Amino acid sequence: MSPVIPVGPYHPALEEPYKIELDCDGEAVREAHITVGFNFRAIEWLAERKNYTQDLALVERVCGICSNVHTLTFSRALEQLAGVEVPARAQHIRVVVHEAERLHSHLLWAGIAAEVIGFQTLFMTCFALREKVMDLLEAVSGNRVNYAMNKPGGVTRDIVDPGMVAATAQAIRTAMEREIIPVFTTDRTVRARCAGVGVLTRDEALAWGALGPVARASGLPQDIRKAAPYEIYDRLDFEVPVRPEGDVLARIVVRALEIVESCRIIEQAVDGMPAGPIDAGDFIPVPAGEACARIEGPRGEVFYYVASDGSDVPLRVRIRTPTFQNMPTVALMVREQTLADVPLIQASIDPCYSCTDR
Amino acid sequence: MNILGLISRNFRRDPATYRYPERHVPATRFRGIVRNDTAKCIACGICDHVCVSGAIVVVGHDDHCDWSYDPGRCTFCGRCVDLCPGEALSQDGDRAPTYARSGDLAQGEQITYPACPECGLPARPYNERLLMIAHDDISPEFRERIKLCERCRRRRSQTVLTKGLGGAADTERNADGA
Amino acid sequence: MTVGRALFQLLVFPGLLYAVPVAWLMLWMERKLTARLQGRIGPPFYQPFFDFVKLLAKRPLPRPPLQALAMSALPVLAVAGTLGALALLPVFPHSGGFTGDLVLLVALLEIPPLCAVLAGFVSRSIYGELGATREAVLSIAYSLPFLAALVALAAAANSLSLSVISQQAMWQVRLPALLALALCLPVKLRVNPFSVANAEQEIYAGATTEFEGPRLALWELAHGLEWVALTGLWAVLAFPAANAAWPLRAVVFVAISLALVLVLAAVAAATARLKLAQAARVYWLWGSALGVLAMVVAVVWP
Ligand code: SF4
Ligand code: SF4
Repeated sequence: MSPVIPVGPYHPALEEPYKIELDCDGEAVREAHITVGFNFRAIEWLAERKNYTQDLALVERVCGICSNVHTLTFSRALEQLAGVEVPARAQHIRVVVHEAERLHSHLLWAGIAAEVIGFQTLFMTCFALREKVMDLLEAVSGNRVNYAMNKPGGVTRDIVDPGMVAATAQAIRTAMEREIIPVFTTDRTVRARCAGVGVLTRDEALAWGALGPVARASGLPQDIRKAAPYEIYDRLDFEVPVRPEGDVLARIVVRALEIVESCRIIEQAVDGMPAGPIDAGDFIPVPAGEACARIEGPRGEVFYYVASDGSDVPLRVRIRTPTFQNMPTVALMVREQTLADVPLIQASIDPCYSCTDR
Repeated sequence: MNILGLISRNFRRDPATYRYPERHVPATRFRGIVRNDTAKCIACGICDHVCVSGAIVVVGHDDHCDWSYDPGRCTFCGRCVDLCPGEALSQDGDRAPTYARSGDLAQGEQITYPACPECGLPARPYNERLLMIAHDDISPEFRERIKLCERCRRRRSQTVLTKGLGGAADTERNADGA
Repeated sequence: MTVGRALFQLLVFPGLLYAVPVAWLMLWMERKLTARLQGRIGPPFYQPFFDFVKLLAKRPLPRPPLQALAMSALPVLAVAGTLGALALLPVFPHSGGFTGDLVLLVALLEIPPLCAVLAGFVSRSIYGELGATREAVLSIAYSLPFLAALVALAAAANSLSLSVISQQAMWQVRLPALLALALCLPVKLRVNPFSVANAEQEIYAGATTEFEGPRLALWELAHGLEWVALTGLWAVLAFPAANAAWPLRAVVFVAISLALVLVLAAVAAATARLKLAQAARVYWLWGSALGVLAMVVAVVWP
């Protein structure tokens, strides 16, 4: 048998094209090499050629799952440049959409993880629950994937039915606690596949700069929402789940608990939503200068750098997404594991290669 | 609940999926296909300017303006609707129908320019909101002039200019003569 | 056994004419029940048949002649082998059979996995090779309990004839033997939790990854026939009433087979896929324990 087994760039276990080449010894993996770049769409280059309003829609398409994160970070960078204040109601709405997006991203990931270990039923259950979140987002924003909710200075749409949003968050929390978490944590076949698999120790996570849930599952309590609170996160009461084990199961548990926390955040944000305007005007001129913004996306820290020369087209937009940081750890995790675990391990960092490649 | 509870519940419940062509009913305020109410459109081209995907293209001509829209390219971001100064644009509350070929649903509208009150030739339309955005304070005289076609407007400006120049020249001559 | 009878069994019941539609029916039942357990609608009942026709209608890829020959012959062989095994099932015990048909049955049932292993290697795809390796490892793992159970039954009935075994094996032996056989079904049929050899998310379709069009259609058919044959074997062994009228026997045979499909589908829906080593361990441990138990009982019991 040939010793190098390619997984990808087009492979049923991968959501997006990228490639891991495995040096195998039978079913055991010795070494892994990762290649990215199959998804390059020149978004940064395009962003330097389109005006700010167009760029909002453009950066939203960096990622198909965490689209809102990108408009939010981009808008925050522009607000910094323009020095505008976002009205309180708009901040609450932003947090609701931001957390709802985390919900659906994590549920999607949980589904993929189940699918990768061949657990179709659990996959369907996760996606059925995710559908509720999608309906919520659709009711709030009018869109299912690219919500187009953010703009510099506020949001584009008001939440007209806060009661429905809170009730949905509550329902998702209950379903999560009653159905999905117990299956993931107690089912024997799931445990057999996930516990002790793909371990990333705390030191390795630190040394390789892991971000988001990957870092938190390896015992690093790292979260921008706590470390550098934006919008209204400093006024909300929520936990950042951390697990010390660093295996796939820990990553599952961390994300599952984050879903529960996100539901709580949504409930609080809707509860305390003040009346008032939802934006700071239709047209926000962007003066010359440069700005950075970072927020905690579903997969970890998302970073934007925007430079402006005062025209309506940015001089430079730089996007760094969390998978860029997390991706190299896969090579570390798959070593000495079996071939059957590789899809699961690569999926466990919740990779988003379209984000990374842009 | 363990997995057995889960599957037995699924079995008892109705399926969550649909049989084509049944579809999930979208939420109210869904962002669907963009429509242009040409009566309100003032052919300003903002929608073209903000549309990232080039779904809307506005091309001006002498006596009318072509506004075209291809839902196949549209990202349903709603920026055009939000920023349209004429409030001419709106989005359908339903999902776009399925279609077979690109361009099947494309719409083309013609916005004819109103007649100039002075010469009757086509004049660029405008509306209050656009004026408010573009100019801070508007005199009654300006409001009158904005209705005219470009030629008449230029002529009106010329008249004012020549009058003004004439006055100034008069004064100068007078000063010389004095 | 007369030639007429043999032909009837091969071509009509439980052979070709019965087995092919029932194979599609079973494939559909499996998919439909899985879908319902997952909260989906699932496919209409004619779906497997449509899939088959659609695959048949596709143009096969041009390949080097020898490889093309092998890749066409292997699925045909798998279909033929399974049909042969089906014809041997003693649904009507007085209708014939011959001493030693058990051995032939075992051999015929081993043909599809063997063909799959070969198919994986001749297709020259790395995923095919991996699937073939896994198939081979698993078949070693499940062969022990599978054969032990059958041998125990033969020893208990003191005969190598299927119809005698199905009539005369004692329940003390039959029970552990049937359990061991049932344990072997998911892996032989490649469904969860032992769908290791065709683990889509790891190695695509495993051995049949490179197969397309009519060749794949034949594999699908062989797979469906395996369902019929293996559940049928189990049904025959589980229902010994010798003097029941033949229509009743036929009905019970079909009913047990279909019920077994539902059980297997439900188990598959409720589990994740195990890893190769884990799956093999289940068979070495539990499968062999059951098989050995059956054998010990068969030998020790008077
Ligand atoms: S008025 Fe509205 S629809 Fe008409 S061109 Fe301007 S932005 Fe477009
Ligand atoms: S909704 Fe967005 S993409 Fe569609 S036409 Fe309007 S601006 Fe363009």
